[in-house]
Amino acid sequence: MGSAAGAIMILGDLAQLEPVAFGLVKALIDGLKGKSDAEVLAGDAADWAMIVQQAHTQAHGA
Amino acid sequence: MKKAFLIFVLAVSLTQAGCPKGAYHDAVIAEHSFKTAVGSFQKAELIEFQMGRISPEEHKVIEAQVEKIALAGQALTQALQSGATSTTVNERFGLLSQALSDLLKSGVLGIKNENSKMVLQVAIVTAQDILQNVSQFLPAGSF
Repeated sequence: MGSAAGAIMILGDLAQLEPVAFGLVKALIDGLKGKSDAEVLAGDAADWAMIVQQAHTQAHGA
Repeated sequence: MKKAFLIFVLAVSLTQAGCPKGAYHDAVIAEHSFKTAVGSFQKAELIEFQMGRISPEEHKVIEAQVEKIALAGQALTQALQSGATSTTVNERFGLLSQALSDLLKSGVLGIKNENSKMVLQVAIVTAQDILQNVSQFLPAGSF
């Protein structure tokens, strides 16, 4: 019973993680497909800014 | 004959030295992969927080560290955009590596929920793997 519950919990965790892993691979492919280095860097600069803003809001409030 | 010899020497030199454009492109790929890994880490951490598996206090500490990493990431991207030398770019990668270690030590390892800790540790190891070999393909003077 205990191991079955544990297995269900692990499956639940994997189901939640799968979109993140899928998103990581998809983001890598989409981010590089047919783009020059300059275009990749321009996109990354915008993404870093969003990560900074999100992190700052979560850590210190708006 | 002399011209053929010079072309041969030039070709061998380029092969041995490595292609500068290749090293720059490799650095861009590493930067992009690292940025994607940090973005995924942040999404995963938010999910764990929203599910109630990470406390508000743990969440704030982790996101403050993510902000430091992202600011270091911005500096790396700007260095690549502005045509900085491979030495400078390598230093920026080094700062990212240090910030990532700080995130692990002061944020992730302090998470009480073991499953959440494991999930986020995996994400950090992925990001560390991306940074691990950077110094090998970015020797001084490669661009």
